[in-house]
Amino acid sequence: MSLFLERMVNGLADGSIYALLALALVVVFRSTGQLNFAQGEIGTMGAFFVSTLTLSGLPVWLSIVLAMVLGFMVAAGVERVVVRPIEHRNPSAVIVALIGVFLAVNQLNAMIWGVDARRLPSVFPTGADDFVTVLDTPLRISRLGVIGVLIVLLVLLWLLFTKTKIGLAMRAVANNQESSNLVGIRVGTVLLLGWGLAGSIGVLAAAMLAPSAGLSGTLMLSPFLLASVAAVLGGLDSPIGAVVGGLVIGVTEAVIVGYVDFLGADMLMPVMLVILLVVLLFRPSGLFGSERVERV
Amino acid sequence: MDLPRRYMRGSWQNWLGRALLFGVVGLFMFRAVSEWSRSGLGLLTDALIIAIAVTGLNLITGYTGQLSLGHAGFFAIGAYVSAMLVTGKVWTPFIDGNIWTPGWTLPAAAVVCFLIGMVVGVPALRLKGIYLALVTLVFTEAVRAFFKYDKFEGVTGGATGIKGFNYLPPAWTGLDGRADLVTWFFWLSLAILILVSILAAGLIRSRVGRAMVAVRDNETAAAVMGVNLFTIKTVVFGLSGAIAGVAGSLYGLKLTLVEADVPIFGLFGSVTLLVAMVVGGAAQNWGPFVGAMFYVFVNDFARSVGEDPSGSLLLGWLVDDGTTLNGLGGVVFGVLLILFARFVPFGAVGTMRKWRAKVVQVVPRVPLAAMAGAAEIPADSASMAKNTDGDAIPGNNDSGPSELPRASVEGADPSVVRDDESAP
Amino acid sequence: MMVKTKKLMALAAVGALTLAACGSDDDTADTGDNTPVETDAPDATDAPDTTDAPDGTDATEPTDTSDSTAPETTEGGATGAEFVIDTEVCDDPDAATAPIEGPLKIGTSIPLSGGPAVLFAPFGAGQQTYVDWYNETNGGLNGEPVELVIKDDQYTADLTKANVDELVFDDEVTLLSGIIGSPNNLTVQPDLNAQCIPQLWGATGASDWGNIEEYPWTSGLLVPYAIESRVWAEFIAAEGGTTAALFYVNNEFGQAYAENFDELAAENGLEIVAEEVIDPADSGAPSGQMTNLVQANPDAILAVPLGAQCSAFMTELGNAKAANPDFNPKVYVTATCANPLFFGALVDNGGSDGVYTSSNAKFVTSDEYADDEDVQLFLEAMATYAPDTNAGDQSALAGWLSMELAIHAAEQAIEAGDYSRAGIMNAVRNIEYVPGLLIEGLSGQMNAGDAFYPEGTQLVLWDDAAEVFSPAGDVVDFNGSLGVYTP
Repeated sequence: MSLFLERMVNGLADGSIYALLALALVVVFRSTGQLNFAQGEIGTMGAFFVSTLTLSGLPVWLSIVLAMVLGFMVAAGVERVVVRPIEHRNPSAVIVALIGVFLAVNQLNAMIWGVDARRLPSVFPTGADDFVTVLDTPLRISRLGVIGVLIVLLVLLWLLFTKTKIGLAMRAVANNQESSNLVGIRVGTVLLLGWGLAGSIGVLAAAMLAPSAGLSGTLMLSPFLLASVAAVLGGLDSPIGAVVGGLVIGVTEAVIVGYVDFLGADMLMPVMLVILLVVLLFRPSGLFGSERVERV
Repeated sequence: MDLPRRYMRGSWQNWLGRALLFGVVGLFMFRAVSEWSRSGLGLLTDALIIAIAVTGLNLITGYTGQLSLGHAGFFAIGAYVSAMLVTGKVWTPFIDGNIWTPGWTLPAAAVVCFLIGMVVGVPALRLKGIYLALVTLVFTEAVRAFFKYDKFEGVTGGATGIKGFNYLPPAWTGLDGRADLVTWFFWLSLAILILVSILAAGLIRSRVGRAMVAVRDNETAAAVMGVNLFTIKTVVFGLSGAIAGVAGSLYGLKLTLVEADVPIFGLFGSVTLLVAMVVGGAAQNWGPFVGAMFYVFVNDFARSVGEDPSGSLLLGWLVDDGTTLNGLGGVVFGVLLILFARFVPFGAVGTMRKWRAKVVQVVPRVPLAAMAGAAEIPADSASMAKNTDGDAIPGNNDSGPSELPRASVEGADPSVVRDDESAP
Repeated sequence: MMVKTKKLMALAAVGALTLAACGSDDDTADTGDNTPVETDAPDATDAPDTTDAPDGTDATEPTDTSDSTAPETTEGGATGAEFVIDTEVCDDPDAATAPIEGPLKIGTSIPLSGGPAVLFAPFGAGQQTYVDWYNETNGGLNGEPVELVIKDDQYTADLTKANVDELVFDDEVTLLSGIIGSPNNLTVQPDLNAQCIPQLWGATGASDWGNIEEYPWTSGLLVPYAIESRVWAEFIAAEGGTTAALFYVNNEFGQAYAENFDELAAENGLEIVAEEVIDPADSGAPSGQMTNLVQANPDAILAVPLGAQCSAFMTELGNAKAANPDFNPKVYVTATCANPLFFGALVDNGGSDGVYTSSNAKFVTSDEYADDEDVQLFLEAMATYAPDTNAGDQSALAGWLSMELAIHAAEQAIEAGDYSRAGIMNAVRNIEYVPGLLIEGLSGQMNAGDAFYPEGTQLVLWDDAAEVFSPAGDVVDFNGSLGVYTP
């Protein structure tokens, strides 16, 4: 039992990272209908920035906040400079542009911060003895912390989307750009904010992952893949779906590694394919995604 | 002289235009073989192999509008099928020692990928846009995981992969064994590219092709008008996968090894093919060829900038002699992709068509007005109407943000008529 | 002196081993009809005291258990027939034997861009630095500066192939040295061997590089994975361990270790109680795998992570040890992790303390080598020619070695009066040279019966308080033990 609990908490902590990144993908998808291929890389850039700031002596939490601001600006910049002008001309070319951004940011990170892996300090205590024992199970504070960050972020996003004007405007734009424009919402600004917000969340995800994994240019490559699977599983336009999807993947991974002997960690993808197909068979827009009506 | 000048399809001017195009490309190919160094020819061969795979992708994504990131999976399966057959890893009836000649593994790879492609096509019945793209992407990664799975090691070589095979030119070619290996693969790839392009072009012009375009432009409407969505999606997915599989098979034979971690067998490969397709121009006959050439040669250029920035035109004035900048090649290529998407949004071929249409247009023999009224071929009318934009882009106008590829917003000039030149 | 005795025993054992190896490879040893060349006894006899085991660590003789394989011949330690390369089978035999005119031109294809690849970039800086340094110090080779052409392959095998074609046909390089990656080297191996262009010092440790029957023009740079696995398996057995677990990255690299270790564990009476894998692209912490390892609670673990996974694994290890006081295995992570960065700065919970690894090269940032001439020369050269590169990264050193060994072979060929590709290849295949950056006590030989260059290494363990690797055993040299690889 205690072993099971330990595995579940580890799985949920891993899943929280995917959930955070999936949230960022969902926020972008809701605003412009794109899958932001560069989301993970912008996050990695932010994590490198955190590393620079902490090395210069700033406290970790402040560094993360500042890096989130950077992530906001970079992502918003991508929307304004890259996505919007192309979107007008041909939406399918946006994929190519975003893949270009992915490559450029990924390699820019290497140019700016070099190629050596770095250690990123955590906001949570990460010493070997920093665990609490619950039901005879040692649970690491840093892992519980990551799950906590996800919950806090969810609450904040819920408040943003339901209680603030800007959040309501974002939902309106996600729902229908033209009508939003008509009622006087500045759609351009809202899209910019959506991308920026996603950029910040991506940085947060990277800053949560890097302390346990080591910070290198490849940090977000595989989490990005899993996060996009999570977003699709939960429904691309549903924040709650992204979180559920992320946690499902994290727990699935933990179960495969822990209890399915004939499969290993490397067989996660075939298992995810099966889960994805079963879910999408019944709900083609994901667990919580909204169905769209087809018109002739 | 009034511009644009209009010519009837099949008129001598139309044929002259085509002859010129083929002549130029053919001349280029012959020059490449005789003049280029082996490395250039090798790179060109890579481009041809990618072009074959993109031709497959173009069928399902470009013409049928089903966004697939699964083609690296087919590519990998094709490569593995060839490798497993030539090294005798799987039991096959009627084959002595289970050892196949490399040439026969190409159609075998096509058959296997066709069958798997049909299965992958089934989810496409329910899934759209990014949902389908992601499911097919997971398919790619799942294929990769299966090839690495240690329980199948006897057949697939596990994480180590399969090595130690080769495809030497057969005697009838008159080529000299190892020394002419590059030339052999070049001609082989070119021949296969021509073959699949002709097949693809034929398919596009057939009823099936018109049904594909109808599905892309408005699935519901197509279904209402009698297109069997199940058949179209599964069969086209199968064909598309088969073509990508043949490309993978060539790739594996050229590389002389297969290993699941080769980047082109995973996410990177799927993205490569998609980029090449869009850059060349989705739903364009010449798109795959042009896109693959762009991808391979521009990437090569970007890498050469990164290798020696001081020696390049682009950055030579900026950096000191002998500097190497980590990752510079990648940044250059990324930026070039962004610029390309910004300024050539409909892909190279689409944009060239648009420019050309300002000067010369080819109109079908049946007048447009008569065509629009032709009620007796309902499945085709939607596609013909859409076909007039000359920049056919996959997707659906009405489906909203749940679909990534949407029809072009701009450039729908009804006077510009798509001409279906047969492919290279 | 306790230590002295042990060293002697080790030497005796090493001698016996090499005999066994030469013997067992007799069939391959007499390729050609060359008379065996007398070589000196293994350098290990002159091994200085730096190889002494520190107090506390119970230095062991990893060769003890190998006594079962009795030597079949009684020839001297590391002797073997001289290898003579056959140029008749080349596409162009004349080109292979033609004297090299003009400068020595070396080509290499390594990742400089493209995702994961970029981790290896210091390797290229090390290569370039050696060539620059060499040219400035010696005025070039044969009076002309050595040229180095580095191509970027983004770690993808098809680009390696394109690059190598470009290097061979456009740049017309004399030889290639230090291509990174197993698939990358494998894909160009058939072509280069048919063209008879030396493919030297590939930065991988797969056994394929010892296949001199088919591919005599290829040689490997890293300590073969089989040697490392063996050193560790024998160490555990000698320490009285009976159970072992594996943690490895699921690719060709990890697989090679896993297979070798499975075999060696059986030979050494170790039971494998758990095998955990991690995907090469996985950048998360391997917490689930660690939980399984804790459950299995083996006496020892062989870990084969990749890049930053090295640190993530050790961080998890530290966590697991703290939470489970009974869990205290001896842990070895592969030599590819043997970088002070991965053990020190990147692990902040003490998880790397007491973890073993091995290296056949000197740790350039270690105080131990603060007065070492070769290390200082390397560091100065790096500071001069590649000031932006972290010289403490052992991969820069590996790049340097790939060039030093290649140019050394060319020098030998000139000395022997056969400065041609074939001459260089003969010099490589019969090399007897230990670069100053390698630890002392290695033999560094190849010959007709010995197709692997580095077959020795030293077990070290990380001291977290002092932030250094300290020797955990003698320098072990299995020179000749791998013989020739036949697939």
